Amino acid sequence: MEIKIFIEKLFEKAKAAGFEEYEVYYVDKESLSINIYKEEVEKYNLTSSYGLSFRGKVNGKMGYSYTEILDEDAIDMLVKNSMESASAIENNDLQFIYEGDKEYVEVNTYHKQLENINPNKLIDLALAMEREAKKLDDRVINFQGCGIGYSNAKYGIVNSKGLNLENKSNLLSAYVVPIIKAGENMFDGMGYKVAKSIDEINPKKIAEDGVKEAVSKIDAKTIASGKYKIVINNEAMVSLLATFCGVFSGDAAQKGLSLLKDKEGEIIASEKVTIIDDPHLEDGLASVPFDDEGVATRKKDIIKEGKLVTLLHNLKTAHKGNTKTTGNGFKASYASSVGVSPTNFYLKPGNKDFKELLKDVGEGVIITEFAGLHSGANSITGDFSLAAKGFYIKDGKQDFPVEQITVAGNFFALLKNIEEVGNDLKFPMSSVGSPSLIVKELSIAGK
Amino acid sequence: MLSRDILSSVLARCLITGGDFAEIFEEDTLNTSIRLLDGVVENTISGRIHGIGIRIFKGLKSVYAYTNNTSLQSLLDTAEKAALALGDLKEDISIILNDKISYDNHPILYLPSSISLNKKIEIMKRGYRAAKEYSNDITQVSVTYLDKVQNVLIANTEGLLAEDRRVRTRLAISSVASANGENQTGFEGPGAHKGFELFETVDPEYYGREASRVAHTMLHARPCPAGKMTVAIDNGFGGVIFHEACGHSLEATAVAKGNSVFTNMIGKQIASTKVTAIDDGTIPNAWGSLNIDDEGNKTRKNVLIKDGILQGYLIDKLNGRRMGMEPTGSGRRESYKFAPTSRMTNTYIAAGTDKEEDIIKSIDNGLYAKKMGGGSVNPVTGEFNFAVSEGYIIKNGVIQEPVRGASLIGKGSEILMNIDMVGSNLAHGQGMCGSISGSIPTNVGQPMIRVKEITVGGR
Repeated sequence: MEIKIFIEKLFEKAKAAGFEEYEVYYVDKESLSINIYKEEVEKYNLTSSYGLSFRGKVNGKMGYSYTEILDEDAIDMLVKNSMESASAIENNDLQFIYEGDKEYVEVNTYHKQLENINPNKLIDLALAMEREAKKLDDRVINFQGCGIGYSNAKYGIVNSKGLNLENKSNLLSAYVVPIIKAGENMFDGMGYKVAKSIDEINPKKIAEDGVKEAVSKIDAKTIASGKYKIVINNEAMVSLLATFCGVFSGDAAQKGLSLLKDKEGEIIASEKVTIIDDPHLEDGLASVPFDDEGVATRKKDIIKEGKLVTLLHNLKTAHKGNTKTTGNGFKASYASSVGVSPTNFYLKPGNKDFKELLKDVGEGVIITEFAGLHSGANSITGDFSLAAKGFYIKDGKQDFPVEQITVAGNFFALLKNIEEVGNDLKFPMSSVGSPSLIVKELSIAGK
Repeated sequence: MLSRDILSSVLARCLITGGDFAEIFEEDTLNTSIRLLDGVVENTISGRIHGIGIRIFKGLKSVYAYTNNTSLQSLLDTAEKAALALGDLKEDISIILNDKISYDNHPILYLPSSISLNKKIEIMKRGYRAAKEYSNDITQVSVTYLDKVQNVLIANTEGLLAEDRRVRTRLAISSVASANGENQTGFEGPGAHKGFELFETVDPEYYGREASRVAHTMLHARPCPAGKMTVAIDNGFGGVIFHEACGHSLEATAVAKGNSVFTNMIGKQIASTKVTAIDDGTIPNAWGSLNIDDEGNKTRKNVLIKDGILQGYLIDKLNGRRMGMEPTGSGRRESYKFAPTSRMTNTYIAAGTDKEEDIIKSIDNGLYAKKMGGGSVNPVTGEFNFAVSEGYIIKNGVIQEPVRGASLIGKGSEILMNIDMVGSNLAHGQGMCGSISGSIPTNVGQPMIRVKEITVGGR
């Protein structure tokens, strides 16, 4: 059934069933991804998928359901499931279907020049990444992956209060992971690029980044357990920030799942720390004109010079917290209920470059990679104990590579112990960004 | 589900450009989730997932395409687009499918659809109350209930036509204990390839108390010291150590291209002689069990390591071609949105002969990891990590005070050699495993083991 007709029929039946207010959220995605192995196309993936979720309010409770088929049966199922879902809810929080804002900022998330790229051009670029990586270093014996992909998505909200919004986005991305053998050991590194036009994909540069990273790990060793002064580089800090960004959710705070509950206005970080959520960031991977409730998005400081300015809110949590929504009502997927999450979320850069940070530290450890973040970091407690890699810092300079260590600490303590913030802000294939920074002290386990 | 005629004509269309194998995977899934917070129902969502994945091979090249539009015309178009990625039009061929095979090795008593939301919510509330009442410092308990009925149909150009129904039910309880501006957490997540009869054997009160016991214990624990130590890892979810440190590196995904440290090691000793490790997708109604894998092959009991000697790998069809080896019933995927690849099912270290009390007694200065959290591995380097969710110091052969925030790291090839005692109390725990073909339910398991030396992360 055509989407427009499906929604019309669905809304008719929802109204007849007794829903007071209701809404549809849909997403329509397509993608092409190509993987190269040993100078040939190894995998070619073509996808198209559709998902639609319905939510409706009855007696003040919001019921949810979703489907991937648009037929008559699906309409009945959506209405029946949502009604059942709404009647099971016992939580008394006020729920909202939004009538919309007067204005929405235009956000540039769709790049016309990416339409209709010939797949053969993509294949050539991927082949070139593999070839260049091999050319760069004859110790490159294999690849863990070499691929290029294009995706586009269209999503929208239509509701009984007359809201009808749609936005689309598209993206090209490429990566290569060369494996280097040195002695008996293998080392991997990753080069990548997210692009808004095909000309931005430079196979040589991507290959260089991957090979360089792999080579830098050769002859890494562990170090003695103890407390060290630490430089967390931009990419590693992004992974940590992304893992803990849930602590800034007003929803988590209200549920007692964030230690930042009732901390607005308090100093929670060093004065060097300013964290911003910017849904309108140029080329941001999470740039978006409206959130998944249809609220116009806006840029705001979350932490300003160490002080917690605001938590992130959707309509429900803002009402409950007696404040205004920050336009951060997002769903984890089209099928989820509306929660709270950041858009382009980053730590504001300072003035010093990476070398100056090392000079400031003198002796310590650079962390370039954390592993096991989904299990070794807990945003409810703030504790983390993570496998890590990096380099030793000696005489203010990068020295030998380090591996087989863990770094342990607490995120809230870490925010307070940030002594300096570098100028190398980076968003590594991520909507979370950070510069490199110096942390006063963290515990390392090694030998 | 699709008719035999439609399957045959779509499969035939897949091979019009000279492909030598094609497969259709159809999925129709019903999901329900319910979340209880502070003892009241926060939300419930149910819905239907439906789509088709088409896969074509030409030698070692593969094409994968998926769509939700399951009209014949859309399927033929998708098949043709996919086929054209492999070359130019050649000739038409016809495909004849064999009789449909279906198995029922994991019978279900009560389908989730036959149970009212209220009954499901009542189970959750029992877990909630037990968790909340455990201690005054339990400040938050969230309980999630999930059920899923996944109907799949798999057909391929070798004539295979098979279907399977996977019914899974899981209860997850997460407790938070708080004092003096600090939080600690505990988690329990029992589940099985079962319907609502899961709760004939799973007592929600027990798991509620367990989640709160861990949160409460850890709230009053000091940070774990860091360094190299001897570690006793207890049974059940402790088996995550084998899953991460070794299991992923034995998947053909890593082995076929020589990217695993265990490539070309069959017949060689890769673990201490105490270690026998098995991946068994046939355990009746276990969380990671299936009748057939997502390529339509019957699941099997695969012995991976016997007495320390590597016996074999977990192999899917495509990687099997590269390796010149037969598939092992290990081709799995999260949904039609993923091409299948070699994955684990129920993986465990088999029971040994050491006594658990002897393992503890043998440690002068070390760590007792009673409960484990999740972990991850880089199969290229074999470097793994995982989190200890409940740990205790061992001194002079006696378990002492609890410690929090411990993690264990190492390299797979080294850790396997360092497992020098294996107890007899084999048990399994449930987890979700994420990899290139998505997030799938897997069991991990082991009896208590002793690792002679491993790096313990802490403060």
